[in-house]
Amino acid sequence: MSRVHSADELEVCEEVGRGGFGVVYRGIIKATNEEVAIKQIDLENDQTDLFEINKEIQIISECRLEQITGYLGCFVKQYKLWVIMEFVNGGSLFEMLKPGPIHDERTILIIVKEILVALEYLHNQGKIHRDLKSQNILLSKGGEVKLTDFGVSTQLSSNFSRRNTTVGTPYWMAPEVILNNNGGHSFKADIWSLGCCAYEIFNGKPPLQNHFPPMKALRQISRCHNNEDFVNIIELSSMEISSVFRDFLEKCFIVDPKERFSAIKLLNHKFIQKYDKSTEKFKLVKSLITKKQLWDQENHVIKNHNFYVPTEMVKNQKKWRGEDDEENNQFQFDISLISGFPPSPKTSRESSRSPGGQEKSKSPEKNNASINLQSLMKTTTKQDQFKKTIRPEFHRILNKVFHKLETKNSLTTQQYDLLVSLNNDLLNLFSFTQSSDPNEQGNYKKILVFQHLKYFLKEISKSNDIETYGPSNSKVILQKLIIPSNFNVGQRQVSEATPERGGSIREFDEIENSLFESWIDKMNEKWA
Amino acid sequence: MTFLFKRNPKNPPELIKALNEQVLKLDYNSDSNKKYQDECSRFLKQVKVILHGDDENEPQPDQISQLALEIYSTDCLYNLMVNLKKLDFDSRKDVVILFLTLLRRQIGSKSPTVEYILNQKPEILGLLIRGPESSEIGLICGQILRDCIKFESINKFVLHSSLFWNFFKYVQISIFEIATDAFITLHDLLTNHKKLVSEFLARNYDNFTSSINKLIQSNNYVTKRQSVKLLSELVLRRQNQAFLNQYFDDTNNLKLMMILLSDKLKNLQIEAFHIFKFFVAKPKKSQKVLDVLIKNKKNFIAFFDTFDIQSDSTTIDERDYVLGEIMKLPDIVRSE
Repeated sequence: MSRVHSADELEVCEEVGRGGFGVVYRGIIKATNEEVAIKQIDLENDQTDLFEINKEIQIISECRLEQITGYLGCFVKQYKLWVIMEFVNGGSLFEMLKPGPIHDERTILIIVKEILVALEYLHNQGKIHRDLKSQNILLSKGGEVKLTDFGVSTQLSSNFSRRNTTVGTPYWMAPEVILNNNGGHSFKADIWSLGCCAYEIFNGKPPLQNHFPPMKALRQISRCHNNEDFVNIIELSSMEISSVFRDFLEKCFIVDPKERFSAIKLLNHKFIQKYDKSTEKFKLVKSLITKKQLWDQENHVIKNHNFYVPTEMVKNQKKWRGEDDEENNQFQFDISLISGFPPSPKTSRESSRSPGGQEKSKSPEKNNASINLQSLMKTTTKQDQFKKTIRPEFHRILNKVFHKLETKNSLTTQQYDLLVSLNNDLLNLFSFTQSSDPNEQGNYKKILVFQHLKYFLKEISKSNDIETYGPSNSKVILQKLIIPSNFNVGQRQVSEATPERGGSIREFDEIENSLFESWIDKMNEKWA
Repeated sequence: MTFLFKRNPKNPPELIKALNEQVLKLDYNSDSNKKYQDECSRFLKQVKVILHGDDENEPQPDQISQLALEIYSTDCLYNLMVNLKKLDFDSRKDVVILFLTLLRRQIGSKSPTVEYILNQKPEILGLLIRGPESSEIGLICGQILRDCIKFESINKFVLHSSLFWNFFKYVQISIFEIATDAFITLHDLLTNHKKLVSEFLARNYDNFTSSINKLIQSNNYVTKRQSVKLLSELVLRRQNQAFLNQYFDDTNNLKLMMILLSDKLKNLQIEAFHIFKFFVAKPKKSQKVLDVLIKNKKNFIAFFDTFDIQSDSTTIDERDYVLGEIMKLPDIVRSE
């Protein structure tokens, strides 16, 4: 595939995922009809660091390997960076595990082997992935296995130096990474994570996840000093697996990174050497995807279709809602006194004396914006806009809530059906109300379901009666049950709304700063 | 497994000789180019094993020093740089590893590779600086050059070369990663060695200011933001005093920051504020700067009243300070 140079070459389709940095869409190269993944990074977001992003792009642009998602170019559009990557159409390994764990060791070894090939390639170039987990392993419908998401990966400029930062996702983290000893991160941390992935494929969850919350798991991992320690906590001996697979996992879970096997050494391990028929390779991975698709159908999992909306539109809507505010924030300075710049404003004294005098170089831009606004207003009414933009988002959130409920609880069929119909009802209530207030501005109508939710939240969060009724008040109990403890509306950024990937990393950083560091200190003292 | 059937060079000097031979044969137009590429790739991998060892072998110091001596005496690094584009994709990255390992090698307090480059083949630096001109090797060259300029003597050489000013062009190249990579190099060149840079900026005020101001006026969001950020970093350095005195007396610079302050994008506004505050805080302001500030007094007061800085308390304090200073300015008296 050739390089993509601008947004004009692409058709942007539905959202396929969200990472720490931004939203990923499926796209199509208009000229060739090839599918691509488009990662849009909001550069105005406070969380993004241009240098960090650049590092990631450098690393992915330096990788050309069948087992690593290919890089197809990137460019800046307004204040967003578009990174174009190869699209892998089957979904992530994490998704594949939703129907249940995979016990077939041939399938496990094929996936593990492909990832080992990718790791060997990376490590050989002095690169460390640092966040290897099932979400970052993608499968294509053709049966390929690909490593992706180099968001926190790093480039060692020399094989001797090591990175000293703690990144990764708790359950997949190697002990030396958590304790930041032995010089911190080395290549071997990826191998530990690979072992966790292999374990995860067989058990459905990474080691310790079924028994410990993230911070406790970290503590458990960091307490492992001997090779048997970790193997014992995860009860490796009671897993019903072949002895070569068990041996393979033991080699991944060697606590001392120096002793832990390298990618090349593991590629020569008996487990990996056991089956190596490339024809079977594609077949087995394909059957995983088919199994997942069947499961989706049986479980009524509706694929979310969130179609891409260019930001300009959303921004314009904000403008319509609060045009006055915008005006106030726009500020013009009088720079007429200063000469020597090409787009020089009026130099006559009259204009320079008036405070807030218009600055010429800015005004054409503004005119353009208002022309755009008007032409948009003509072609689409506000209600249509809402239907196109807000409704899919609402739908997505509802789906997400549903999946969360479903994964965290074991629902009965009746509960399941009721939830499905509740979601449908909510979605059907996405209709515009006729305002009873004649003074209400023009065609600005409210959406019934949102009004309903708003009133509900208002009622539930009214706090003044706590004192009058005491803590046993049924309303307080309701509040406690319904309102999340860390609830603060409006404060959270969009990117944080999905805590799976980016969120978990950030969360850990916070904890690391307070609790965790002091705890490590204490531990170190003990050993000293 | 081809290498099993081919004769392998016996020792490091022979290996480098063989590598040089193949590198010089590389030619796009030749039918056997692929064969030469493969040979280069094979030899480079062997070089890498000598330098870093592998699973079975630890690197041997005497082998490394033999290898290095042969590389200097045959201008192997130069040959590799000249023909970098002709090597295959993965081999180019092995060149980076080879180059950087040699660069870091120290004998006593001496860095033989640094001395070799500066005294024998400074052309290598020219090739590295001009790397961004080729999309294929831009990133590779950037990586190597940034490691080179960690040595002050090389950084000095680059700053004093007329090619240095090319970076202001390279950072505007349309290929994002090449442009950003060039920006990182430019940033490092101007921040790694403080004393060196302070002399450089003092001597090249006009050239530098007009170059960076052009970048700040770019239509490209990333170029704009990175250049303001670089500037504010330079402005924070006390060593750059001579440069600062000139910079903050120049109304052109003030104007540019005022335009950025009125930008719609929050991050640009905030970056601009961190430069603008120095215009206000400077104890002895030039008359021209003072005039502009006085004339805009009302505008500034209105602006900073609503200037939205989220939750960063130092910036809020600074804003209040700036606002206070502006309030103290005299009002315009109408002369009619």
